[in-house]
Amino acid sequence: MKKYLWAVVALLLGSVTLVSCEEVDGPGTANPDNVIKASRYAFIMYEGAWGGNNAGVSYLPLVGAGDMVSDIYLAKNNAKMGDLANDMIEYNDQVYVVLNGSKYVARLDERAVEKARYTVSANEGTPRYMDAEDGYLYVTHHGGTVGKLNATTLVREAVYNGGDNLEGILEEDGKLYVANSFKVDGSGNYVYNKEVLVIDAKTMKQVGSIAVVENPNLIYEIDDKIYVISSGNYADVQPTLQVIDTKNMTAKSITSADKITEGNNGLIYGVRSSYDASWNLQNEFFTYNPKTGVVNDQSFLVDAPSSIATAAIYMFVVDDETGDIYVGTSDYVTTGTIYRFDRSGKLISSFDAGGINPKKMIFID
Amino acid sequence: MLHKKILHAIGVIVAMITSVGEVSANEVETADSIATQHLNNVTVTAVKSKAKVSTTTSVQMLSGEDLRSLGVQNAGDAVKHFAGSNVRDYGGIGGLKTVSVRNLGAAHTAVSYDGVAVSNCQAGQIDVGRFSLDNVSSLSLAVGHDDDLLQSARLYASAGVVKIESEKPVFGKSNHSSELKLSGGSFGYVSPSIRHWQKLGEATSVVVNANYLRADGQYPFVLENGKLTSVEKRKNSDIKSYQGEVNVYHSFNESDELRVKAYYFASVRGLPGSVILYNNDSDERLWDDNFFAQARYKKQFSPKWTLQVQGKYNYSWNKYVDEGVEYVGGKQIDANRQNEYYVSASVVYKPTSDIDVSLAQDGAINDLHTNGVNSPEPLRYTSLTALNARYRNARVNVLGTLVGTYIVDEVKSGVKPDARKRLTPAVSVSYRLLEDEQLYVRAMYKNTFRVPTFTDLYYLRVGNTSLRPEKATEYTGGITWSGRRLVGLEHLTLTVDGYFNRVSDKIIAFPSTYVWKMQNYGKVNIFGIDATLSTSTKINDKVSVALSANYSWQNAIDLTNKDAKNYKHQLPYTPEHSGNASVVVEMPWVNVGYSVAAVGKRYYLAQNIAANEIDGYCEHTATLWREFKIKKISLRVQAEVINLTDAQYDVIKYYPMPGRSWRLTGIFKF
Repeated sequence: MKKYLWAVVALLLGSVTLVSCEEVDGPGTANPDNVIKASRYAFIMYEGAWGGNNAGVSYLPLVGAGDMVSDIYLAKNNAKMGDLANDMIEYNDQVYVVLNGSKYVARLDERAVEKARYTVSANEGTPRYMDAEDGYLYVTHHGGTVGKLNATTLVREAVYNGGDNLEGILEEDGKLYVANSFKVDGSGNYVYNKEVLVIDAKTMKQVGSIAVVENPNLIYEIDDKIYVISSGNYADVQPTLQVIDTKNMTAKSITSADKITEGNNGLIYGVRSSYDASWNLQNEFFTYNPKTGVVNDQSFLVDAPSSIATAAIYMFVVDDETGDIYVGTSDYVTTGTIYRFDRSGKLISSFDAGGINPKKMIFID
Repeated sequence: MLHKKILHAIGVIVAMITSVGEVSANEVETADSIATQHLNNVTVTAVKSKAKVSTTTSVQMLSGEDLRSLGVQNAGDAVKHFAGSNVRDYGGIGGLKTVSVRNLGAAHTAVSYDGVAVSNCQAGQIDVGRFSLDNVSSLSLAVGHDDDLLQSARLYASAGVVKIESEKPVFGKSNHSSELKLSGGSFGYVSPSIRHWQKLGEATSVVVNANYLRADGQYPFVLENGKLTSVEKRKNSDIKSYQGEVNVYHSFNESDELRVKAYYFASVRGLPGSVILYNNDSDERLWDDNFFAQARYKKQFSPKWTLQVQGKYNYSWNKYVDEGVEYVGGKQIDANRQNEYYVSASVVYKPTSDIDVSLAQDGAINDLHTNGVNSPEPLRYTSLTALNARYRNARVNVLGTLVGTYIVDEVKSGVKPDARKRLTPAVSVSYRLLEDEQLYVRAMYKNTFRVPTFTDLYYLRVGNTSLRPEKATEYTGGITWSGRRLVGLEHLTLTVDGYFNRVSDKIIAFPSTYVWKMQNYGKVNIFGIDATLSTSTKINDKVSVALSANYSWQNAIDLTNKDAKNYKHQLPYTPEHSGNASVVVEMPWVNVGYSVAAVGKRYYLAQNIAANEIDGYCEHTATLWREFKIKKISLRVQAEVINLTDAQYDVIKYYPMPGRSWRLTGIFKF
């Protein structure tokens, strides 16, 4: 009997042990170089979840063979990209990414292989957005600095220090336009600023500032004009699209907007989001004609699925070659969904973004 | 590799079990041969059954001696030994540990310390890792509530209760007893403590204890990242804490007793945060201060009437500091101060030998003061009433409970939420199937809710004063059996419970494009099975073996949004399979404790995809101890190896747990 009981006990303990003790896997193995087969493709950068180290870049073939790869960075570099990707741009046939959580800026080649990295020091704030021109990469940081990095080596050659928590940045005609967004006081209270800093790109000295609606965030250059979106105060001041008059250093409000993108038909596409009394999100898609100054609130998405009307629009990009409109949505906890529309606003397809919070998309020929 | 590891783990277990048998057999002779030297120095005690079989609800308990035998360091680690518990452990000695019962969420679990519920109106969940087990006589986990009719209304109002009871002084011939303890171990862990029991006359005794703990907490861990996989060290994981208690016990007469406790705890610790790839910055620190004084008076007026009155004042303060250039002045300081004034009275009336009726009435005032601008400085008035009725005869035990809650908040600024009123019922039943066997079937239905916390309601921008309470409903049924003096066994106890829980109006931070907002959004269904086994045997007069094991199966699915990619997916951090086993062998020359906790694969985010998977793990802990007695002085020497196999695992993703570590403890009693 005792033997039998011990056998039962051993079995029970064994079953407990079987519950677990699996081999810890690495994040994946490097795929061979032939992953990227398409002659034209896109990279979609997804932010990931805070603390999740699950930022990444997915590969989407557009012309030519091959399948979508949900994490091309991992596949090509055999290491994870890190935590919270915030920005991605293409410049001189190179891809640049900013990792807000992992605090670095990296240069990738067009096949997503990392070639150079700038690691942000412990005493400097997290990197946020960037723009590139004349062989330099300009990177904003929370804490008030703008770094001027050699775009090839990513060695920092100069720095501007003087703002608060900086967000969007744009280089235009030798000047940097930088959203001096907000500050956090010693008790954690947010104070929203109302200015875009103007910095001389050569000297990295501030040469002026432009008054804008509070909490400036994103800065765009479309057809040689500079547009700023201020996020407002999340209470009575709504997110606002403004255009900057660079000569007079002033900004003029156009309409309420959360995101815009340049169409390839001379129009600017925009989306604005609001909440009803039950905190349900409502999206409105509109167009703005910069030539006539007319805002058309008729949605340019003619057969948008109902899900898009109430989803958080996290990415909003137009393919400058085909005019296709890509809308990335997020619920912040699961992988995002990308909706692809043709230039007339008809839905072509929808697909998984590959990661959480798809935010930026670039097209590579 | 996977199979190899499983085989290795099974091998360890089987070797352990078989060696127990073999060693036990061999040790009959060995023990005999040295018995003349040591037998008188050894106290052999059998471990009692951990799961209660006759209660109408699932109640699992560990005694203080069980906890010490298994090398359990704090209440959080202790609860991991119970079936159906989900302990979120952020790693390290100062790491946060919260308990969720059958996946209902930590805010649905009440924690009671010597009969009075510990509250935290700001965060809603209790860090059970803070409770030292130095002077604990028992720790239990009840699903629903236990069968004690005299307890406060608060302990009926939660979906599960963790009860910590401290040790009452026991005097022999002397009117005092003292204990000095020194514990040291890996990662700079040092913890001296002192306890003194003093008898003041026939009816009064005093217990004083104090404890200091410090640890660097800089343990190594493997950071998996493809070609960049490396061994790192946990940083900013240090802790210093001080804890002290004074307890006074007074018996007016046999049916009339008073117990008063004053408690103080202070700590400063680093918050290492999650491991962020390529970024080693870690500047967050937390200071805690907690004082409370509580009193419990119990009087039995007659065999039919018993009264208990409790009161408590609680003060807690914490300061969180984060450094960084993104803050004006280079740092952010959040300071929070909470006060609680609490009274509870409960009376039990027993009109017949079969029937008990009880009424418990609690009242509490809670406030919160923060250093934020425009802080609403909320003040909460709570009334909880629990009416209970029990019918119990030799075979049937039925307990019905109705809890009435009334809560009003006052705020200095902002929107004042509506008063919250709610009646929540519970009924539980146990039936003894055979007259001469401890064989029972039991079932419970319980409806509870959790009130939105101050953070849920008022936190800057995120808080939402329109929140409704989060509701939880529990249905459970099970079968229990306990036998004594079976062939070769002192006892054998088996319990199996199946359950279905539903959480609706779940309060979650609901994201928007820029600002997160607390919302009643979630809906969750939880199905599960908990099975427990405990047994003990005496190999001979000097050697005894106690063994317990449990297994949990859980299917907890998110039903919030049928269009979401995580619809019907298993909730984050919920293993489908988990369990643990422990064995304690008491022998004349040395006693051995061994436990293994096994947790299957889980997901760390809502979506059940490969990228979100966390591997399962097994953690083994071994303990050796021996007690020496020289006249009136006793010395217990205990050595523990935690995570014996040096398993690298996370309970919470990117909060790595320590690898193999050791602890050495000496306890002088005189």
